[in-house]
Amino acid sequence: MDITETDEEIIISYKNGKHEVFKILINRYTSSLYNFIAHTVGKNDAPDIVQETLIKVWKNINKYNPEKASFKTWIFTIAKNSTTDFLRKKRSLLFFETNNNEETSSTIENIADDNLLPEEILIKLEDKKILMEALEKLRKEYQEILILHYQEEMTFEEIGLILNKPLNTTKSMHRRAILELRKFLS
Amino acid sequence: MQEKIIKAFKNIKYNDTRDLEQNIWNIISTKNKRNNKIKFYILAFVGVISFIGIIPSFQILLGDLAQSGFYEYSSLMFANNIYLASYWKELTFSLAESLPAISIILNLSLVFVFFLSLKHLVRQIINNQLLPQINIA
Repeated sequence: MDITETDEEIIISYKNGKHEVFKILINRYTSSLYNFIAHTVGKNDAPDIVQETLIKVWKNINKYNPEKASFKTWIFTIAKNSTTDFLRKKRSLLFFETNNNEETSSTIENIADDNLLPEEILIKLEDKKILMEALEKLRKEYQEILILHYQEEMTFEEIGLILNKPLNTTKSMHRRAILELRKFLS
Repeated sequence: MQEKIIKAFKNIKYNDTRDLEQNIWNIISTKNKRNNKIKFYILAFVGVISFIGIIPSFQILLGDLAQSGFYEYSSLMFANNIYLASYWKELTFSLAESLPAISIILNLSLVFVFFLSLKHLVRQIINNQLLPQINIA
């Protein structure tokens, strides 16, 4: 099995009895999942949740439907749900129940995308420590959106599917996340 | 702006997950082997039980066929062609009524289960998922 095979091709091989190909998926996604989860729950607990996520993926791989979403979206949705369950158990999650009909401030909507982070803030982003500290201060949902969009380079449609939010809400939340990041970096 | 933010976020990515990858694979591999072993033993057990059950169920079927008069009705088919041509409908109904349905269903079910478990067992062995993991020693 060629390591450059797509996720869907690997899954077809797996379903045809070549169970060893699942290792390719593990190697492909562990790092990304770890990054996504670690920024939310911390490095100590992240390995357990990553493990739980990939075991869930393995157990439910026959239920994966490529017509509904890409494999990456599906696996991150499971990761997101596992993280939420973990935080609920830990009782450290402050539930900000965002409605789908969020009121969007006209001020936010009027700021052009290019101006959300001015140059001086972008320079500060280059400092790893400053960015990590600012990221930790953000709300969990904002952290998730920024990690998925800028680290995993996922589209807002994919992120919306993972976070179970409509596209426009996801875009609004992204803008809010950037503005909040800007506030902490200022 | 977009590229700079992407670069900054990729900069804070945790990269050392090789041990974690190997640990996860070991766990899944172990669970997979265990599941395959369980499947093998269940399939083998079902196959053996169904095979053993075929013999007495077949004997019961033969007994029921004898008791119900099926043999006598069948022999009429070879007795007299003139009667067969005239009374074929009645003979057909008599043959059908004399069939021991429950015995036939039981026998066919056991044969079906036996061949189904045999098919799955063979498929597992061909896929090489079972024999290397079972220590027959």
